[in-house]
Amino acid sequence: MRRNGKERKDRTAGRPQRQGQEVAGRAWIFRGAHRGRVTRKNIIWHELIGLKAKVIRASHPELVGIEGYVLDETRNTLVLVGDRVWVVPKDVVEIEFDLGNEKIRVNGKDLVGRPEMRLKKRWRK
Amino acid sequence: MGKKDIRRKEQREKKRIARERVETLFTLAERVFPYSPELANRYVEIALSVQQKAKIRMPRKWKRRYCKKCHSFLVPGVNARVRLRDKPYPHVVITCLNCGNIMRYPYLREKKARRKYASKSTENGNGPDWTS
Repeated sequence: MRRNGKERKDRTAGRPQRQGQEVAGRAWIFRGAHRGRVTRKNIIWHELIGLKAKVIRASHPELVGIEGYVLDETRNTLVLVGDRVWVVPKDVVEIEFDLGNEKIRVNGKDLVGRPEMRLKKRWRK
Repeated sequence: MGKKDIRRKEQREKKRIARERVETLFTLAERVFPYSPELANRYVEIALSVQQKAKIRMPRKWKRRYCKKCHSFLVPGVNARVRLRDKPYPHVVITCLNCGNIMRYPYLREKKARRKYASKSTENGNGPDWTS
């Protein structure tokens, strides 16, 4: 976290204190980056960053309905960006990815794992 | 036997997906860079780890677009300097202006190929004829 930011005081109330808040109002950057590479079959191993996502179900009521582009990914969380930045835990939510022509529902439990480790996940089933 | 084939097929599929992931990550890094260079660096980091885990070759296009030392995304003219040097051997010098690391990429092979091509074409007489 940056302190002593140049433009305004960090840690002021009502502001996302996250990395990537510069992109917050400019989610259009991510539009159409994947060009139909991700499909229903390979989404578990594929890149989530840049996809449009919506939280369908969650154990915590405030997380439901969050919509935005995936900005970053860690082992247990996704960072979504819409008009602000949210951090959503993976293992308690159900997420719908919007690929333009189709929508895919994924249980967040299947997505747990670091981005490069997800590639190795469950190749044999 | 059959099992082995299946595994090989899976391996190929995995590498294909990894290649696509690296490609998308770098294009995203390029798009994000003007607004948030740190995020672009993060994407490069992920792309590198994906590439190393899947043991694939870095695409030609993106090979010189990140710093080999501090792993930051490089945009020539903004945070990288690109120069051609000829002295010990012909090479491209790319300097990362974030950390000052210098990367050299020789192009001796290309130059040799060109020299060879030029001499051959003049021998055959169908190349550009400068003598007359």
